[in-house]
Amino acid sequence: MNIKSVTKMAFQSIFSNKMRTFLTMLGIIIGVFAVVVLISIGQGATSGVTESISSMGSNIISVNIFGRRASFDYRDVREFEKLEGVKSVTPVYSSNAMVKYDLETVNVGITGGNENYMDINNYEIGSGRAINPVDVDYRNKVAVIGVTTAEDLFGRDNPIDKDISINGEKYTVVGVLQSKGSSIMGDSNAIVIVPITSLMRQDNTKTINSITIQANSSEESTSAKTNIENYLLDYFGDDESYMVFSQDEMLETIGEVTGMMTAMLGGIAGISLLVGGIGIMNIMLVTVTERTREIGIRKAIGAGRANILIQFLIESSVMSGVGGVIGASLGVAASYAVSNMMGITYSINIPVILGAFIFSLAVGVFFGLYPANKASKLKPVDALRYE
Amino acid sequence: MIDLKKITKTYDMGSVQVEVLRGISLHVDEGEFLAIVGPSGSGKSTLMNMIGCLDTPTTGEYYLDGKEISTYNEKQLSKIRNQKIGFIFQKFNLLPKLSALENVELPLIYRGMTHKERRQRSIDALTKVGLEDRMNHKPTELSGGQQQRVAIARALAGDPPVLLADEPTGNLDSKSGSDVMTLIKQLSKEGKTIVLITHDNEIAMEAKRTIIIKDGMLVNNSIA
Repeated sequence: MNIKSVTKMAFQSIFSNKMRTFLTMLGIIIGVFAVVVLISIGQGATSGVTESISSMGSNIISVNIFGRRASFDYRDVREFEKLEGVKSVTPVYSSNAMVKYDLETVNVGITGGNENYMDINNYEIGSGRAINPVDVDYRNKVAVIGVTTAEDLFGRDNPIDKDISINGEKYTVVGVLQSKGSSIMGDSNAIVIVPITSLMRQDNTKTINSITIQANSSEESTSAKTNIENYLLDYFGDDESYMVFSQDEMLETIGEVTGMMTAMLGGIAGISLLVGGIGIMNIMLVTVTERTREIGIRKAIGAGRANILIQFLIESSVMSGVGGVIGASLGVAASYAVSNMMGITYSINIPVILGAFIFSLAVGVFFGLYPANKASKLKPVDALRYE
Repeated sequence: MIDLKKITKTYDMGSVQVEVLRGISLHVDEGEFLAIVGPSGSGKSTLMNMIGCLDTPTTGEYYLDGKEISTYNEKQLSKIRNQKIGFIFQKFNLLPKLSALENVELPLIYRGMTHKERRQRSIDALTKVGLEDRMNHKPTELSGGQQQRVAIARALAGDPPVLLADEPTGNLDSKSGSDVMTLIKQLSKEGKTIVLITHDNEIAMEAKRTIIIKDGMLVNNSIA
């Protein structure tokens, strides 16, 4: 008894009842499809977020201050630079503003920082110059803009030395940033960077709530973080007025959350695959009953238990296997389309696709086992008598 | 060839035990053409199932080719059915989704024969029953007589020493029936051991020996 002939027989009987086979397969198709799509999208989103975070550099430490009693002004921030392991510091103050040039108006995020801001956040100057310490100290009304903002406001004109209005106040564009590529967090080229001192005076605030600190290296970021925490505890006297977290921790937390989400989605999809398997078992049981006489005939002319068992097992695994291939292909196509639409990086995840396929095959074998065993155990004389 | 010793078969119908065969002893020589005749309910089909290894006796011994097979397990019995016995059923028992050729090939597939060899043997068998031009027809596209001849070809393909025919003409008109009987007689002449089960005395007359079974016992052991 060779496998080839049995497989051929299995295909014959599967395709002799196309509608039923298709509907049975549909359970597996939907299951595998769901697993592949949900996990791919979940992982795509995860890698998108982690990428955009790690592109900021893994040695970045953020400090947020909620304290009312004490506060920093932009000069106090310099104190952090004296801590061991710290390379550079910038206070951060952001808001949204209406930015105008001539007749063009855009609503864009404005960020105030000091001369270190661009370096810490991996912004590179494309043309013109960056914000310098003098700008910060003298509250100069100068701005560095991203390429998207530059295009929106100036079209093809050179923005350097042109005056724009930010919430009604006049700033001079001194530089344009290099294009940075968009991420899931939004277009990082739609940005205006100004000296923090100028922006805070315009908004009439004095307290700084957010500080970004760059450690010497990612190895030193943990010790630098400890030093910062100690300094803040000393400064405020309690540990509830501030929060310090490093990029690494953020990555870890986000990785955990999205990983959990992906696992959950995959699990839910897995349940539908299981339901599909039960569908296979159900239809295989019906098939065995329907084909009792056929089983009897086969046994009468010399088919052993193993032959019958293998025949029905192959039938159920061919159904689930073909369903798995169709489901996985549709899943790959759909997740590709969805990630294109959502702008998530899509990577073909071979282990997931292979895993889903193997799982569906296993489901077919597992749920085919009971009906196949039932068929193989039929006594030939009883099976032949069956009408 | 076939040696049955005090075979009994009891069916357990819940509270009632039904004794279908009550101590049957029977000897069939190699090359013999034996008819077993009996009214319905006499146990003749059960007897044939015993001989064909489709069912196992409750007590008694069964020797086939000198080997005691009443102790064989399911796997060994399926091998016996495959190699030693060819079945011809009243209802043909062809698989409706397979062509005539594929039906004939089936026992050879279970024997593990290569594709080329089994195809050749199946074609030979179908040629022998005169259906070489109907090989690729499905059973539903064939007449009753043709279907029975396909079934005979299937029984012959594996070249078993014993042919068991259970009312082979029961579902056929008299013309096809006599064709089938002619074929069976010819096979007998070629040396096959044939056991024919029927309730029709006229058919039984064709055999060299007839035994009568009644209420699960043999009542006559005569040579016709």
